[in-house]
Amino acid sequence: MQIMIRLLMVIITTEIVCSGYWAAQQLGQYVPVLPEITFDDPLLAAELKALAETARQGESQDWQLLGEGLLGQGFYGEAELAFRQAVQMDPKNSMAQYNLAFCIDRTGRIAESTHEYLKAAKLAKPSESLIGSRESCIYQVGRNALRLENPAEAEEIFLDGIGFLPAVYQYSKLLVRSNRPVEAMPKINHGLSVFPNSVKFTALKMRALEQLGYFLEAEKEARLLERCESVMPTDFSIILVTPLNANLGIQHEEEISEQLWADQSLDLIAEKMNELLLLLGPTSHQKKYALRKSLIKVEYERQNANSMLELILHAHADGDFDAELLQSEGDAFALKEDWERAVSLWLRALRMSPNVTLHQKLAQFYETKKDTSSRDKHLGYAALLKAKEKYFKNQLEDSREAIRQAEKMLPEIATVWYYSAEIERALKNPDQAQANYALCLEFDPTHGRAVRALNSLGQK
Amino acid sequence: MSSQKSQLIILIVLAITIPLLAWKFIPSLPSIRTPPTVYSGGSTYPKSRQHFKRLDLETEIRGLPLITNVQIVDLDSDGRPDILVCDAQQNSVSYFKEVDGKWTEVQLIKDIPAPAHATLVDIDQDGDQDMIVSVLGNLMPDDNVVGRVELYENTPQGYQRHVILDEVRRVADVQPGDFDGDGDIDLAVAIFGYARGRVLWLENRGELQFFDHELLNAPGTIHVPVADFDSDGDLDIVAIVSQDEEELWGFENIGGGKFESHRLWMTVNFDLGSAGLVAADLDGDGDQDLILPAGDNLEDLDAYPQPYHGCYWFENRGSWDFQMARIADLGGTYSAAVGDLDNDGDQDIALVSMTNNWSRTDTASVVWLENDGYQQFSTWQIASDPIHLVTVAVGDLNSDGQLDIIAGGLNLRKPFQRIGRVSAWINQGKN
Repeated sequence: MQIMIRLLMVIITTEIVCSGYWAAQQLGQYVPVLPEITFDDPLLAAELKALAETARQGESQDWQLLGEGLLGQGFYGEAELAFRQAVQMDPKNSMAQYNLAFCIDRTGRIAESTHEYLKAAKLAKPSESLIGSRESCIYQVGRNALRLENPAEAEEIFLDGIGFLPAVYQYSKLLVRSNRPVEAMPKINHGLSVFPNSVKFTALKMRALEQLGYFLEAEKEARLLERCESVMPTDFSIILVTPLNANLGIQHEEEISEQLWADQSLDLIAEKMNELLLLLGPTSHQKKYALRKSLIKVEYERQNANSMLELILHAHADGDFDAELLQSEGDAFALKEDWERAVSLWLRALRMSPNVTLHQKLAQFYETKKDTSSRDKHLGYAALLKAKEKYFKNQLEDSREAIRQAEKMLPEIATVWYYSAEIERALKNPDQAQANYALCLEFDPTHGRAVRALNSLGQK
Repeated sequence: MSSQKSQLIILIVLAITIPLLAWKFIPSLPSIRTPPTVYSGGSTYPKSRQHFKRLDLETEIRGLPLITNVQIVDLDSDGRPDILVCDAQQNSVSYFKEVDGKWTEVQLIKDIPAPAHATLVDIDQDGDQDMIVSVLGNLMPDDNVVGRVELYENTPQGYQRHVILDEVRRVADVQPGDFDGDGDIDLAVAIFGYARGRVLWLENRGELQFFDHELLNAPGTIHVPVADFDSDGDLDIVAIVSQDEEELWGFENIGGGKFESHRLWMTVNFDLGSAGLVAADLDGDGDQDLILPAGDNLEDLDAYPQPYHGCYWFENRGSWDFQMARIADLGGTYSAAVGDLDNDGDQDIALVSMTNNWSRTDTASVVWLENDGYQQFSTWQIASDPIHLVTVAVGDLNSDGQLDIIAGGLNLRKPFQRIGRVSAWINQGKN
């Protein structure tokens, strides 16, 4: 029995020591810090609290998740602390280290964030990724040097990171802005070989050519610039934060309801959206207004004119008046076959924000009224809008096809001939372009862009 | 023996109970560790000695107002100040008018998509004030050709709409002036766009027809103030170009409708956030200086004040030489208005902030910069509520000889709290 007692005493002592150690650990635990503000989002507080509870008991990854939750909602200071803890628990957690640097960066502590980005660069793997890669860390260090107005240091950093295309852009831009276009041109051309349609590289090339005195070539680039696309981001903040923002709160719920569109279960979407609207009712959250507009579209698909009109009334009561609401109100009256009101609202919407769908609806309406002149006018404008859309996307053959239709329907509209000329010029038909610019000027002699285009065509 | 037995029982109970109690209670023990301090930026200033009393022009705020511009003008030519408002929530231009001590709003023009600015000018020189509206077409980033310049001709039947420039990207500002010396009024136009934009001037060819001339091909031009910057007797144009470029341009009028471009200043700091440009003779030396509010960081989903935000003064030294000095550090500064707010004979500045650190409730949304007469400025806080302010103007609203302040709120970003639409602060003089 003595042995038994001794054994139990050893066990109890061990239990007391272990419990004490555990309690001490618990009492000294790193505490997640949540923002002390009133949340606009009715779901967010509970979700962040749950993440904080998991992090408190958890590992580096859990702290990182908490940090990402906070960062996605713009709580940079609180997110920074969570990422610090994630890095402390796992010093090799490169993404937590990158996010920590980002939080410090966006709260204006530039030198400190550079220090943290450099730590992240040591941990991160090399890749083309815009977020968290070694290249992106170094790129952010270069951007910080720009923010501190230290172009020489920035130039060196971007030159070191020249394998990363955004760094190529920044380096070339520094060269152009410091009047070194000859040095810049090979880098710009390299960028354009990767992204031939890049707005940023094309704009830079235009500047460099101007500096070199090649004004005709610069003008050609300016013309090309109109048809370029934003294909290469140089600021990665939104790319990092947007998906994090969509992970929590009302934004997450909205994304879920948007996903329901894929299943085309309109009743389900309407139900979900109404639930969210009810939740947001007492708040001033921005999503309430966007959600209401989405629901109006759902109700249109459900052919539910009265619900549409009720939602539009609510939108107006909240001070919202725009082309989209006018168009929807017109759609609702069209569903009710109140054509007079529908057309009047559609025409108002069109004056604010012309679009192909609306022109087509009006064309259909005038077709039923046997008003061919009005029908053709709207078909012509629909074709013009399509031509412009294709032109700005550099889809020139499609654009030409659409503009030919517009020419037939709207032969006295200067804008039609202007775009027709631009399209022909881009398709390397200078004679046709010249003739079309002339037609444009015949109908609108004050069209300065057409005059300049015609002059530059003559110089070639 | 029995004592040993009871000892054993107690020990067994303890051996079982201790881990159970530990398991139950220890996880819920609160941490006694002091929570780390959260970094909290943002700017606050001493309370203004010049007292300003807030005047709410509206009793009820509906939704999230998106005011893009406010001005103090005499719209109805009754000799009393009115407040002209561009509203991108209601997509309208309206004005507040004081009747029997009460301000009431009158809608002037509706169905204008995101009006950025309205310019009152007698464009057809028929003796009444017409209105030229800079139409963004979309308040949010958009690189499509959705912008317009719309002229609202003042007629006995009301305003008659004429689109005098379209097929351009988002238009942020239009300013009038006779640039070619032919006696009629031409227009300088800032096409902000997004990734692409331009600065134009529109030559008045009569009959409300305008011929467009290009001055600059660059994105992000916000304002195009017009004045005789080189004191040679004709009107020049300046432009602030933002969107990663951060350049100040001067377009020198060399006569005959020709302009010579000067890049007056630039910074490699793409993140400066130039948000406007105001021409005023800040140092009273007889020439027009420039005041640049900087603090736009709408490219972030959640904007935060940065160390370079604030207000910059470009002192006109003649011959298109402008010397830059930073005169305030208000985070998220978005708009500036110049006037003698303390009636001491020199020019002061009112500033508003769009993106100070709004997680705090004490950070400034309205301040004024007191000029000591030698262009040394002290910043005084007027208000921290409402927030998200993007436009400010000064003028004597109550005809007491002291300049008052009005501001408009663009409630695009979190927090959706302390929301305002058009707010006024009436100058009560020194405490």
